[in-house]
Amino acid sequence: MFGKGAKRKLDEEDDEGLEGQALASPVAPGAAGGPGPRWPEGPSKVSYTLQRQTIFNISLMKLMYSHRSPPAEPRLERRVLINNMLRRIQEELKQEGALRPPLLLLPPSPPPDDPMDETFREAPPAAGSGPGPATPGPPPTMPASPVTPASAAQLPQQLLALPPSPAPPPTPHTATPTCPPASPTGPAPMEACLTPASLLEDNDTAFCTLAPPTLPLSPPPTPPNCQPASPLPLPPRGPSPHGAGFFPPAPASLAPGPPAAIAKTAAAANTTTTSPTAPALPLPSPPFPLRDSRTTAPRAEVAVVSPSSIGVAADAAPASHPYPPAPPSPSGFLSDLALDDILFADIDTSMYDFDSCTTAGAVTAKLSPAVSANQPFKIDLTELDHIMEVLVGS
Amino acid sequence: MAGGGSEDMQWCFSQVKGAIDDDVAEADIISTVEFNHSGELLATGDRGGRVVIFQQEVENKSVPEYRSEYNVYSTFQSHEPEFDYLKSLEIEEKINKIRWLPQKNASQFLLSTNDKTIKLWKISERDKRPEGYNLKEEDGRYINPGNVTSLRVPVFRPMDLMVEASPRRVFSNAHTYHINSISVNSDHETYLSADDLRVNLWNLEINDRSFNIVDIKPANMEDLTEIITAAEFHPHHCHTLVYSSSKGSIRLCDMRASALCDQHTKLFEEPEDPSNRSFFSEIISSISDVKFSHSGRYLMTRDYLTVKIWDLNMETRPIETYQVHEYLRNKMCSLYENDCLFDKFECCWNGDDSVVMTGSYNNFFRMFDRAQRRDATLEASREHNLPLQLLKPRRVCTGGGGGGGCSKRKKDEISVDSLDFNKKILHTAWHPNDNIIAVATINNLYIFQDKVSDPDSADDLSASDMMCTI
Repeated sequence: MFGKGAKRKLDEEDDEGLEGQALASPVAPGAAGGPGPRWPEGPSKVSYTLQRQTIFNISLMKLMYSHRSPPAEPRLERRVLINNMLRRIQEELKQEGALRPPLLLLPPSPPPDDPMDETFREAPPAAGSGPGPATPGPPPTMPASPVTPASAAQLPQQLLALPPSPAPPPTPHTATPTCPPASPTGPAPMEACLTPASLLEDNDTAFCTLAPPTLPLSPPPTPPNCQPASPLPLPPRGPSPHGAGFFPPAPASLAPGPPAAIAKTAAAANTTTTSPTAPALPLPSPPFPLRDSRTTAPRAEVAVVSPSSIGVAADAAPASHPYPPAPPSPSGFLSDLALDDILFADIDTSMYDFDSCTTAGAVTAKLSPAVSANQPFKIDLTELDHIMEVLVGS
Repeated sequence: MAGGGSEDMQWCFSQVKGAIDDDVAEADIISTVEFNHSGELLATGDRGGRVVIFQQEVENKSVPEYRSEYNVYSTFQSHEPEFDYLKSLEIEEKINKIRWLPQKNASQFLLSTNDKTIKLWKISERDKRPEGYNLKEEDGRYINPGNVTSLRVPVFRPMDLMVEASPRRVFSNAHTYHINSISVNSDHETYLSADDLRVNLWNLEINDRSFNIVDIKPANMEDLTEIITAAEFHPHHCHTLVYSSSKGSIRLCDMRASALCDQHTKLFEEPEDPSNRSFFSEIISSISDVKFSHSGRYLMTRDYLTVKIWDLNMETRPIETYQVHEYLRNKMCSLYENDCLFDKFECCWNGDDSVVMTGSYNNFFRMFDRAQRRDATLEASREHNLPLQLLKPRRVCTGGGGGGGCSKRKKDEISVDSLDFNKKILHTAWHPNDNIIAVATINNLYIFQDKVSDPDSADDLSASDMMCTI
């Protein structure tokens, strides 16, 4: 937090950019007791989404990072409130995702003439009509066909096909539902996959990792792209020519460490060509290395946001990105976990949850006692290795 | 002595306890403040697990405007840090709450609790000791009984006052989650302890057994969305208790209805104001403190931005709502990020339930006079520490643009952006019978008293100085 007694000046930009907009943009549809979807129009919608994303990232970081030493039990109230926040945002994104293709995290304050704006201006009306019916909003270039691993090569094509408006960032939620059984039985309904709540609890950082591969998928996406609560923090590249999502600045170090997928975009966000300023939220900057540094390392750098680089990024993705197989039964492994008391009363084990998502047999990881922060990564990398072998083998 | 109708209460500095330097040791951070039932004793607990009790000296009647001071009466280590080996987690020794028992004999009793264990402490005085034994030699060795030829009855002679604190009961292993509240029942035999998901009922005499009376733990922890934040017994009805939740609701339970009070008797909840909805609506609605009025008729709750007074007979909405620091509503994203949004402020009633008080940031604390519909913002700072120095009302100005919109360097005004969020007043207490308040900053305890107004005095501040609305 602050230094001793130091008065913290609120960032003007932060203040006006987010706080003010937040007030101008009431909470999205589906809110309990709300009169129905109320989407702010125009630029405020972008700010709203921006702020939502910011809060989302902040929430994830809060859940992951424990300030105590030696570690004490996390405060349950805090965790519950943050979880509820994440759930709410996830619900919103889910509803948004139901209306149009999953969106990537927005870049910070795109300029007014940014085609991205067009995308979002169209979204509200669709949202206003309630979830369900396809929205006329999203640009036709939004790939309607699921992207399969095999068709990963199509990705760049599709991405490039998005002229001015890049595919909206895939919602963490929708990306997850794309995590159907390995056997392609067709797009699995969202509901069949990990429940949002489960995801939230178990895979705190999975969301923002929304792997690019799963990117421009119209719901429901297909198997291979399943980014379940994958610990793979693939940078939200491609779709948004204006910047991989909106992630808080963080060192783009690739050393194993806490799965701060969000850290990923840091590099991207900072290198965005369109809007130089991310809402300067002074997020803590402990080195948040990428989880799967091995696989995503190259991509981190290319996550620059420019239309020309999209293709590059996309290309890079399929090549080196091992699509993790969906767990045999999307929610099956969750039932193996003794969530009770472990989930809330144990130390912050959210990083372990990734493991349980990537491999069905990673249940033990979740039950392991508290260990240093570095350990989960080591577990992760070995799991990824295993996954890659499986994929390559098949 | 709130005085007549239009008389404004003016507060002046009385004492400050604690280290002066700004380098605050974590262990010294005050975590709870509580007057006993007579107001003679004032107890504080800190993060280091220590309890310090101050005692009010006998009033000096020759100087009527100068009430007695509080001096250290007893200091003891209540809780020690523990380590839960099963979970590899530390159990903090921070004292979460102190509650005094009504005095029954010469000794004082209080309950103190950390996250997991409650302890009943007996604080007793010793000011006499028996002297005159003829059973020992000069050097302390016992005389051979065969050499004792006369009977000498020892007599009690005065000695220097010694205050001893001894743990009489330890109530442990009853809470899986963090204890946030304890409350002594009006029957003086039982008390409750509440953690995030459960409320337990104890008998003060029995420490190896407690009854669970409220349990909101869901079968599947994944479904957990609401937790208990505070609980208290009714001051007069020993069968009635309330507990507040992280979603802004208060449930009143009657233990006569059933053994397990999962079904509430009353639910106090105010519908959300749709115009104020934001991402943080839930977090700021989480109730951080709940207090019955002394009369037992009203209930006060504190959430992040407001203090609400509820009538027990009306569940639909509070009868009064006071804005503590509404100017923070625009800063919630930043406050969320730096965790200030999770700060748990307490609140308290004055003796006759006419004024309520709570803390804020920048070492400000707020008072709301219910009867006169006035409120005041005062500051606990080292800058105004002359004896009996009047506290000047403070004011926070909002407004867009740089500078926070404050009028040019107007004295006693501060802009929202200049507030120090490190300096927070979470714990306050009001003397049960007098206008003496204890306000805890991070590591200092301030004691203020209202000014005994001298009818002939000409230096009373005008009423406008006390009017300070935000």
